[in-house]
Amino acid sequence: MSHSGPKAGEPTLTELVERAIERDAEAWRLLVRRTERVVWRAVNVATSDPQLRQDAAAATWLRLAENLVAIREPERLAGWLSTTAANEVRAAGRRQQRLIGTDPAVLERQAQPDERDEHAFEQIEAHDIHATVRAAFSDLDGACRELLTLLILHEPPLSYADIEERLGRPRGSLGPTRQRCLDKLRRSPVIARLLNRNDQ
Amino acid sequence: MTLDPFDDSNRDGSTPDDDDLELVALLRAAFDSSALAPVPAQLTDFADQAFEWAVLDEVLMQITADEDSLVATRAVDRGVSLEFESANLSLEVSIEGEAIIGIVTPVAVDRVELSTPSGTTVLAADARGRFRARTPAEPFRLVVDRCGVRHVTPWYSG
Repeated sequence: MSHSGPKAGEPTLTELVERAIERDAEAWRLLVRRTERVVWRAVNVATSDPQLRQDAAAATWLRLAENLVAIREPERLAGWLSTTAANEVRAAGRRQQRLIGTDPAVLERQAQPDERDEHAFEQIEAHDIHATVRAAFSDLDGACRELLTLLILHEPPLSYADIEERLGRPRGSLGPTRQRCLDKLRRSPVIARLLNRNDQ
Repeated sequence: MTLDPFDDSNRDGSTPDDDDLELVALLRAAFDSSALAPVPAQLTDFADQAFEWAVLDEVLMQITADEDSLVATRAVDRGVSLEFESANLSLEVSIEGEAIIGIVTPVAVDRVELSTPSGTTVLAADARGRFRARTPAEPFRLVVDRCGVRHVTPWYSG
């Protein structure tokens, strides 16, 4: 799990949510510290655009503050935050697309030669590899990103029933579509080189 | 059932091969929290402030009857009567089965809302400050806007 659970003597998520509903600002502060990486991870999975990430994360915190009483199972708050953050990225993305046409981070990458192909790949450090994989993932079309996020990256993992409901698609279609999306990702030059390097 | 593409028993129409597993592992590692940049400090600050904006800017109306007297007023036939007050506003509410009947004093308010986790309903208050609503099946609170200030009752869940 990417959010830290309570240590001995620390309040549970349920206690923190209940106290925050009663307007305990310190409980809210602890709640944020306990779960902020969940939100941060979710917006990073959903977009490579730094501005979208910030906007969506901020909107997620506002939604939580306004809807604390609606959190029926506080111990599952991580799931609520992940889903809300992903939804906020999509909403912010739609607003931004209406203004400028498409994801600016993708546009910027498409407008420039892929320097990742041109330079010595072996010099890429581990953190660059992670960033490179994230960039390749964000270059996938939205449908593939959403499917792979729900199937592979969502924290905590989702049940099949949840995924079917969110996508409105039968379970039997998920595997073949996942395969096509993974194949698309594999065809990315940088991903292909990474996988080849690992094989050598 | 939790989905795991490493689990061959998945019944999602396919079985991942070794190449898929390697790619999935690469993806998961890339989005592991430890691989991401730290949460920006300004975002943490914003999250802290969100609570103040959403909650602390409101005036929480105080219930003027204590819990014991509330219990005493609760009866199947009579419903529940509640009274709330803030510095310059009072609100009397009766919950009678499916109906919420209220009166706000003074009557000159900008807006009365019934708020639930699912959404907000604007209620029409008449010239005497009386309003009526259907009792929601979920927790609710009443919100009265007056002179630019939001007066809110505590959440009530029956």
